[in-house]
Parts: sequence; structure tokens; C-alpha cells
Amino acid sequence: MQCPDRQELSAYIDGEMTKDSRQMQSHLQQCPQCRDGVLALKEENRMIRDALQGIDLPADLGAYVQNRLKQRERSWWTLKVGVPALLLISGLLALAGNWIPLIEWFSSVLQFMLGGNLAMHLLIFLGRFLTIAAQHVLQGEPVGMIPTFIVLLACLAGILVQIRKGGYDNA
Amino acid sequence: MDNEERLIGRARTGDGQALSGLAEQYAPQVYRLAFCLLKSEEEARDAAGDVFVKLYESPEKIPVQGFKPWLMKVVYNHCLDLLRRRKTWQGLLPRLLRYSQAGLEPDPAQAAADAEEQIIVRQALLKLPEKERAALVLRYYQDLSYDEISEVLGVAASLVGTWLHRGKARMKEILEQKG
Repeated sequence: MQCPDRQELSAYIDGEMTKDSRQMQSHLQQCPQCRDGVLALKEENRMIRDALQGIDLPADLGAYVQNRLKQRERSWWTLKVGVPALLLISGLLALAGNWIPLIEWFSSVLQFMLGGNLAMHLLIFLGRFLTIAAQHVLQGEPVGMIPTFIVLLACLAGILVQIRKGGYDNA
Repeated sequence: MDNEERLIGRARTGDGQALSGLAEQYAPQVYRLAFCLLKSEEEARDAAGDVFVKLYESPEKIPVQGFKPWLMKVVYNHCLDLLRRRKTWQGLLPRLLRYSQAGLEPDPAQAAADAEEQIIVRQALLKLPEKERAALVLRYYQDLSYDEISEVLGVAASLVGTWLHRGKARMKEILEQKG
């Protein structure tokens, strides 16, 4: 048998030879050069393995991943239970024409459901902005369904963004 | 049936606790593969989170057999997506992009803690082309077979040996140039 090239020797060490490995074994017994080659390749493999195992893990990796999973689980329940409940209650309040408490109510519910994050802050800001703007413009007079549905859609969009991202407040 | 098989079986039914268990067990391996591909600690951590959230979203896709190679394929494909997106953003908003070279230039505290040899070898590894880098990580850190690696990378098994060989030869060149 002729001396194998480095790739063949490497495949032999990895236990991935396509040819009969017995030929290689008997060649290695006779050829000190190839034996040295095997030792050098094994040393290379060890160095690569050690270098990869030595990559430091972030101290909070486990907690971060678990937190992402919890966020996703919570978002799932939000979608299945929270959103239909929001729709039902807001529909009832909107029908009663009581829209300003509705926006405040949305803010507190969203704060609870989404936790402290960017989406929540934007949504609460939007809700309050609409409340104040509407108070000024309409001077407390009853309002139709349009502002209610704007806030409602904004809140739902925020929740959906949250679900899609799997949570913001886990950084 | 061993503990891992039981965990996988339960995770396939959407059991959150079982998935948490798998995440605890595999997060380091997922992170290290992602880190070698993305070369960024922050992005690798995010990618690890994304991968386990994906599992939570589609538990029925978790295979009964060959979980680890399958998981590595999910990580690899996710990282490729991120790299593609990164390239797009690099073109559009180069100044806003936070591209970290943390993997290439370890901070002094880490350098002091790590063995010098490991840092040098890692630096050389991170300079390899993406496919060769991935093949080396999958073989020498994840201990996958050539067939499993070919499945993860989506190439013929015969190419895996070539990439491993080329990767090591290229690393050698880099190390010799250095010093």
C-alpha cells in the first residue's frame, strides 16, 4: 500500500474510512512516517477540540434561554386567552360609549401582560396620547367607535409584535 | 428508554418543562456553534434563545431519533439566515450595524483566563470560510459523523472529509503565518 495522503489519514482517525481500514492498520505498523502523521493529526484535533470547548459561555446563557421560553409561553396564553377577553370587554365598553376609561384600562392590562418593555411603553404612550388629545378635541363628549378601534388595533399590533419576537424584556 | 429520550418524547407533545430540560442540556452546544458562525457573543446568545423558541413553536418537528444533528441543523440554518440579513443591513446601514469582532479579538480578562494555545487556535478557526468552520465545529466539538455533518450542511458526505481537511490545512497556514 502506498502512503495515504493527509485527508485519508484524517478520515481514518475519525473512523470514517470508506476503504478497508485493515490495510491502513497494517501500513501504519510498517511506516513510521505515517505513524508520525497520525500522531500530528490527533494533536491537531485535540487542539481544535480544546479551543472550541474553551469558548466562554455568557454567565446568563441558561437564564436567558429559559426566560425566552417563558416569554413565549406567556405570549401564547396572551394570544389564546388575553386577546379574546380584551376584545370582548372592550367591545362591551365601546358599546356603552365609555371610551376614556377603556384606554386607561387597556394601559394597565397591557402593562401586566407585556411586562416592562419597549412595546408596552409605546402602547401606553399611544393610549395616553389619544386620551389627552381626544379630551381636548372632544371636550369629554361621547365619541363613536373610531378612536376606540384605533387604540384597540394599536394594542393588538403591539401584542402580535411581542408574540412574533418572543419578548423584549429579556435582554 | 433513557432520560434524554423521555425528555424528547415529552417535548414533542409541547411540554414546556421538557423543552426547558432540553434547553438546559443543549444551550452551551447551541451557543458555541452559533458563536463560531456569527462571531458575536451577543448574537450567538440571541440565536440560542431563538432556536429554543422555534422548538417551542413547532414541537411536532422534533425528531424521535437523531435529535442532536437535527438541532445543529436548525442552529446552522438560523445562523445562515442571520448572516444573510446581516449582509443586507451591512449594505444598507453600515454605520448603524453593530458587528462585533469579539471572537477575533478576545478581551484582556478572557485572554488572561484562557490558555494561550486555545485563543490562537480559535482565532485561526474563526478566520476560515463558513462551511469549513462549521464542519470543524460539528466534527470536533459536536462529535457528529461525516454523514450527520453532510445532513446538517446539506452537502454530499464525500465533501465533508474534503472540507475538514481543507479547513485544517488552512488553519495551519494561518498559524504558521502568525508565527
